[in-house]
Amino acid sequence: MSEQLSREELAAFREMAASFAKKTIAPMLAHESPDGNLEMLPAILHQGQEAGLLASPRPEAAGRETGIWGSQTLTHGPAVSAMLLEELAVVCGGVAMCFHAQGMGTLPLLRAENPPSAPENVAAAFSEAFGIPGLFTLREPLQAAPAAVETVAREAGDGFELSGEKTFVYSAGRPEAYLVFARSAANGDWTCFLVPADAKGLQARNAGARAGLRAAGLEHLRFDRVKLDRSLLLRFQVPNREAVLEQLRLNLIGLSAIAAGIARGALASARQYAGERYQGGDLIIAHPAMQTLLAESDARIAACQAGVSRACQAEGHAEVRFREAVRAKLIIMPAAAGAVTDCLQIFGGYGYMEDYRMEKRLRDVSVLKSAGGAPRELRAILAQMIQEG
Amino acid sequence: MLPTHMKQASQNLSLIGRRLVAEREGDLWQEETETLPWPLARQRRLYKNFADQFIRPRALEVDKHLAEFDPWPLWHEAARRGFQTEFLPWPFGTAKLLNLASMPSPLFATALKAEEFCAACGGMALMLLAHDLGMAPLLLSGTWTGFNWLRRIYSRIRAGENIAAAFAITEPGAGSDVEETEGAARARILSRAKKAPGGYLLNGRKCFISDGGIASYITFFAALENEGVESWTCFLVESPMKGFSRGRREKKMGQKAGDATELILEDVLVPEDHRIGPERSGWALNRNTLNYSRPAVGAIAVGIARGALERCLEFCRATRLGNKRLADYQDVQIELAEMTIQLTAARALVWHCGRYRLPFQGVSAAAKCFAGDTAFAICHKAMELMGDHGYLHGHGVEKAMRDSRLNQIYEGTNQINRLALIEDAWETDFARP
Ligand SMILES: Cc1cc2nc3c(=O)[nH]c(=O)nc-3n(C[C@H](O)[C@H](O)[C@H](O)COP(=O)(O)OP(=O)(O)OC[C@H]3O[C@@H](n4cnc5c(N)ncnc54)[C@H](O)[C@@H]3O)c2cc1C
Repeated sequence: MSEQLSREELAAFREMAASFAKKTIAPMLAHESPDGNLEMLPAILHQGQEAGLLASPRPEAAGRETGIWGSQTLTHGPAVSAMLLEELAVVCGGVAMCFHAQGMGTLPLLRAENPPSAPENVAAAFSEAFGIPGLFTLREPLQAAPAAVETVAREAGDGFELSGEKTFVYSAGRPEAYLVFARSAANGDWTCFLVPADAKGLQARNAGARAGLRAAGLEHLRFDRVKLDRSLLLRFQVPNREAVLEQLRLNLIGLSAIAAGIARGALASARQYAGERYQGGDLIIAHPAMQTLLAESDARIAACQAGVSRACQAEGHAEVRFREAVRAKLIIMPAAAGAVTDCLQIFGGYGYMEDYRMEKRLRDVSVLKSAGGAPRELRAILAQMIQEG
Repeated sequence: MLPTHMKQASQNLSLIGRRLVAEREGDLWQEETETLPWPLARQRRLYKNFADQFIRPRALEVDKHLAEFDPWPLWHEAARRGFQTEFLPWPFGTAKLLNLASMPSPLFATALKAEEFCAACGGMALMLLAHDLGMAPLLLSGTWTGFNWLRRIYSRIRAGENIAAAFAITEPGAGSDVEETEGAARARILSRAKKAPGGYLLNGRKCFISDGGIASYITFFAALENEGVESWTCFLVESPMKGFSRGRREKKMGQKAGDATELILEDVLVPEDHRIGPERSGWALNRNTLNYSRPAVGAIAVGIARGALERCLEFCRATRLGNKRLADYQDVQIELAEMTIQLTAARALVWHCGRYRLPFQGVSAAAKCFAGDTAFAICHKAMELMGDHGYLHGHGVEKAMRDSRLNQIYEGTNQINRLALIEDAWETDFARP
C-alpha cells in the first residue's frame, strides 16, 4: 500500500510542475522550428534538476526523492509522477518524455538492494527487435511467445558478458549509462544491469528522423560481448520478473499521462482560438460543429485522466497491477489522439501550420500510440490474461 | 495448396460453373485498373509509371530536406508527358479525347492522376496538381477569354517554360467563409477590384495558396468595390505585374513539397482581358470549381492512404516476429484487411463522382470528406501496426499520416463539406415533409 499525499500536497506539486512548464519549457517553443529550440533542452533539464522534478540517482540530488519516478514513487505510488508528467506535457510532450525516460532509468536504481554508483543521465533499455514481449515472455524471457528475449547475460570470469540488441531506447538526451533488462543465460530469468555508455562493445545508434517527441533522445543499442562487473547487476527485493512488470507498468502509466497532458494542452489552445476566430458571421465557438469537437475532446480527456488514475491506484499482485496499465494505455491513446486531432481541426488551415504548435501535438501523440507498447502488443497481453481468467 | 482453397476446389465444378468463378491473376491494383475503359486503364498505368520513376524515389528526401528541393525539373518531366496540360485536347493541350469519351465526367483522369501521384508522395503530387486547380476556373468559366488564356498558358508550358498556375480564394480573415453559402454572405472579404482605365486595380491578400510560391498565373477572386462576396469576380493575375508580391511561405506539417504561400496585391493593374467571365460571376465560378476539385482532393487522400498501406504491407512482409512474418499473424491480417476495405470504399466513392456528367456539390463533398477521414485513419492504423517503426521517417508511413491530415482541412474543412452536402440536398432530400 502506498502512503497517500494530502490534497494540498498534491495541489502544490501540480502547481509547481505547471509553473515550471510555463516558465521554463514554454520559451523553448517560442522559437521558429517545428519542435522549438532544442538547444535549450540541456538548460531546461538542468533547471528541472534544481527544481527537483528530474529524477536522479545521485544521493545529493533533489530529484532523487521528489523527481518524476524518483523514490517518492516507492512510498506514494505512481500518481504523483503521472500528474507531474501530465502537467509538463500540456506544454511539450517531448520534454515530458525526457523527464519520463530519465525517471524510468533512475527508479530501478533506487529500488535496488545493491545500488551501484551511477552517473546522472540513465536510460532504461527494454524493447527488443519488435516492441515489447508477450505475456509468457515477460514471465519467462526464454519463452518464444512470440519471440524470446535475445539480449543475454552470461557469467564470464568474475563478472558477466552481455550480448544482444535493444531498440527504441528513450532518454533525456545523451545517456551516460543504460539500465538494461536482459535474460540470464544461467537460469533463463530476467536480469537488470547498469551498463556505462562507454562500455567496450556497446554501440548506440541514433534511431534517426521521426514524427515527434523529438526533444527526447531515441537510440538503438547493440551489445557485443560487453564485459560487466558483478557490482553492476541489480538485485531487487521482489523477484526480477515482478520488477520487470513494475517497470513496464510505470512506463505505460507515464506514457498515458503524457498523452493526456498533450490532449489537455491542445484543448486549452483550441478553446482559446475558437473564442477569437470569426467565421460564418460569428465566433467559431458559437458553431455547434466546433462545440461538438470541443465537447468530445473534453470528455475524452476526462476519460484519459480517469484511466491513468485507475491504473495508478491498482493494487494487488504485480500482474494485476500491470494489467490495469495495459488497459489504460490501450484505451487512452486513441482517446487522447482523437482529442488532439479534433482540437487541431478547430484551427482550420492554421492548425496544419507550425505556428500554433497543434501539428506538433498531433505528431507527438501519434508517436506515443506505439511507443513502449503498440496496440497489438497490448491487446495480445490483455487477451492472454483474459484467457487465463 | 489445401484442397479447400478455392483454386483447387473449383476444379470440382462443372465446366460452366468453373467459368463463373473469377480468376484472380493480378494484384488488386491491376484488377481495378481492368475495370476501367481501356483508354483510362492505359492512362492510369502511365501515371503510375511516372510516379514510381520520378516521385516515389525522392519522397522521403524531399520531405526531410525541403530547402534543397527544386520543383521545376520534376514539373518539366510531368509536363513533357503531357500531365500538366490536360484540360484541352490537341492541338492546344494533351487531353485525350478517348479518355473524355470513355467516362461521363472529365474528372476521372484527374482523379486517377491524383491517386497515383499521391501514392508516391503527397507533397510533390500537390505541387503538380495544384496547377490544375489554378487552371480550372479558366475552363469552367465557359468563356472565350478563359479558353484563350488556357490555350496560351498551355503553349508556354509545352514550350518548356517555368510556368505554373494557382487558385486563390482564401484570405486571412475568410477561409471557410469563401467555401460556404451562409458564411460568405457575412464574410469579411478584403480583396477588392476597382474599375480603372484599361482594367481593374486589385488590392488584397490571399493566404495558404498552394503553388503560390511558384505560380506565374493566379486565378484570383476579388469583390467589386463597395460590394460583398456576391460580386466576386475572377481575375487572372500574372506574377510579374507591378504591385504583386509573395508573402510568407507557410511551414506545414506535411505535403511539404507543395508550397502554401501568401500572395499580396497592392494596386495591381489587371487589364480587362484578364477578367475571367463576367463581373459578379466569380462566386458561382469558385463554387463550381470546388465541385470539380473536391473529388480530386478525395483522390489525393486515397493515394496517400494507399501509399501508407503499401509501405506498411511491405514492412509486415519483411519483418519477422518469432517464427513468422508479421504479415502472417491473424490480427495483423484483420487490420490489413480493414485498411484495404476502407481504402476500396473511399476510392469507390471518388470514382462514383466520375459517373456523373457534371459533378455536384453534394456528391463532391461526400467524396472529399469520406476519403479524407478514411485516409487519416488508415495512415494511423498503418503506423500502429508497425509498432515503434511506424513513427520513424525512413519507412514513409508517418509522412503519409502527416500528409493525409491536410485532406480534412483544405478545399473546405470536412465540417464545411458536410454542411455543403446538406445544403445541396436540402430542397430535394432533407427538408422534404
Ligand atoms: C496546406 C494548405 C493549402 C491550401 N491551399 C489553398 C489554395 O491553393 N487556394 C486557396 O484559396 N486556399 C487554400 N487553402 C485554404 C483552405 O481551403 C482553408 O484553410 C480552409 O478552407 C479552412 O479555412 P481556414 O483555414 O480559414 O479555417 P477557418 O475558416 O477559420 O475554420 C476554423 C474552424 O472553424 C470551423 N468553421 C468555420 N466556419 C464555420 C461555420 N460556418 N460553421 C461551422 N464551423 C465553421 C471550420 O470547420 C474549422 O474547423 C489551403 C490551406 C492549407 C492548410
